[in-house]
Amino acid sequence: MELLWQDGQVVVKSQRSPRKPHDHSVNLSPSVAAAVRGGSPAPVGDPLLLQHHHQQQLEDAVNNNHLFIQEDEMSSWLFSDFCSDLLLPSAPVVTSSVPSCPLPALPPPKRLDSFGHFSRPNPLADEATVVDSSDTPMATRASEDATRVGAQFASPVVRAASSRDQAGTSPSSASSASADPIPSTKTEDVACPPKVAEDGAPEERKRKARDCDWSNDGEDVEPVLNDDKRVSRGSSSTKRSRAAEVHNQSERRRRDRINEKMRALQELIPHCNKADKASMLDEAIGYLKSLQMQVQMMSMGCGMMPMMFPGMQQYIPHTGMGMNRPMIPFPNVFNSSTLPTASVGPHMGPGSRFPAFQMSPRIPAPDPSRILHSSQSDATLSSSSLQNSNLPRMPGFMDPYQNFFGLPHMHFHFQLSQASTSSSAKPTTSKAGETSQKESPD
Amino acid sequence: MSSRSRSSRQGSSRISDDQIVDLVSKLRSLLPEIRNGRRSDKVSASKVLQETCNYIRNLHQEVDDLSERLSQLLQTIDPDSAEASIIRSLIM
Repeated sequence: MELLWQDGQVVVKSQRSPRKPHDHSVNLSPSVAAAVRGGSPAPVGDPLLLQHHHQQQLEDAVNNNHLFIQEDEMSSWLFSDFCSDLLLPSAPVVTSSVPSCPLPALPPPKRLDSFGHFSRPNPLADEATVVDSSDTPMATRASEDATRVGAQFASPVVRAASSRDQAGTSPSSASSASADPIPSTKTEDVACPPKVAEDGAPEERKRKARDCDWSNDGEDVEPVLNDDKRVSRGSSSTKRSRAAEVHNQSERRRRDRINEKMRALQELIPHCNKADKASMLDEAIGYLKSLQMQVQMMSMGCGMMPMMFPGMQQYIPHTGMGMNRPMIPFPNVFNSSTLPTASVGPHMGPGSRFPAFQMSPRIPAPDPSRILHSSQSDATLSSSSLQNSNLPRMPGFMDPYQNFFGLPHMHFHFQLSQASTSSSAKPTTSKAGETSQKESPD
Repeated sequence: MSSRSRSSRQGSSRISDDQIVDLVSKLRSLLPEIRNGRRSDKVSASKVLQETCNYIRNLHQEVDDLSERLSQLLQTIDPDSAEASIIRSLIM
C-alpha cells in the first residue's frame, strides 16, 4: 500500500492492484489539483521509487478511472521539493517495503521541516491550508496503514505528519480513547475534530456504535460504494464520507479483533462446534460457570481432605464437568448448625468412624434430629473454623456447606451412582440406608 | 426471531447485536473483573472476550493444580476408603 495524493488528500493505494484504492482518499483543492496536473511528471527526488510509483499510478489510474495520475505528479513534485532529504536515507528501506522499520528512524526535528516545506512554494499556498485541515486525516491514514501495510515513499511525510499530530493532539485523544487500547484509533479520534460539524460527539458515539454494532459483517461492501459517491460529489460530502470511512475502518478492525478473540475462546471450550456467535457465547457462559463450580468443588475437597469430609459426594460433578447439575440445592441441606467432626489431625484417623454421608439434599427434618443426637460440639466448632480458613475461595458457599456438613457421627455412605442421579434419589431409600449404616457400628 | 429481519443486511451473521450485547454482559458478570470504579458500559466486547479467555485459562490452571493436590492427598489416605473415591471423582 502506498499513500498518495489524490485531489488534495492522501490516498492509500495498493501498489500491485487497486485493492483498496478508495479507502483513504482525501480531497485536494481544485487549484492545487490543476497545479499538480500541470507539474511535470518527471521524478526528481528519488528516481527509482518515483518512477516505479509513476508506472503503478498510471496503471491504477487507468484501472480506477480516477484522478490518480495527479497523485504521482503531485508526489514527485512534493518530494522533489523538500522531502528528498527524507526520502533518500529511507529509500532503500522503503523499496524493500518494510512496514514499520523506517518509523523510528525518522528524526524528530525533520517533522517540522517537512511541514515548513509545505508552505514554501507558491502553488502550495492553497495547499498549505488544505494540508493543515487535512492533516489529521493524513495522520490517521498514515498511522493506520503504516502499522498495517508496507510503507512506501509517501509514508515518510505522512509519518512525520502523524507523529506531529499525535504529539499535538494527544491530550484530546487520550481522554477520548480510554476505552480503546489500540493506538490507531487514537488517531482516528484526532481526525474527528475537523469533522465535528457532522459528528457531534464522535468518539463516544463511534465507540458505542462499535460496541453495539458487532456483527456487521456486511459492511465491507459499503466503503467502496461510499468512495464512488464521494468522488462524484463535491468536497463537502467527502468529509462526511471520510468520517464514514474512518468509522468503517475502525469498525472493521474492531470486528476483526472480536472475531479473533471469539476463535480463541472457541478453542478453549471443549467440544464447541457451534458456528454462530450467540450459541458459542452461550456455551462459553455455561462452560465458565461449570469451570467455576468445579474449581470450587476441588478446592473444597482439598481443604476438606485432611478432615473427613462428609457429604461431598453428591456435590461432585462427576460427569461432564457438572453440567448435569448446574444448580446444587444448597438450601435444601441440613439446617442444623452442627458440623462434622472432621478436625484435622490426630484424633481423627482414617480408620475412625467417618461422618455420615448425606445422600440426597432433599432429606427433610428427621435428619437434623439424628445429627443433633450424635453431635460433638467441640469438634464441630473447631472444624467449622478450619473450614472457614481453609476455603477462602468460596465465601458464598461456606454457609450452606456448613449447614450441610452437620453430620458428625453418621456413617459414611458413599455411592457414586446415586450421586450422578441425585435428582432422582429417593429420600426414603437413602434415609433407610443411613439409619442402617448408623446403627450397625453402634 | 424478529431480530433476524433487522440483520438482513448483516450478511452471514444472522444474530442481532442486542443478543450479542446481552451475552457479553452476561459473560462480563461472570468474570471477576474490577467493578469498582469502572463504568461497565464502556467495556468493549473484545475486552470481555479477552478477559474470558484469560479467566478460562486461569481456571484450567487452577483445576490442574487442584487435581495435582488432590491426587497427592489421595496417596496419603487409604485407597479403599470412601473419601478416596470422592477424591478420585473430583479429579475426574
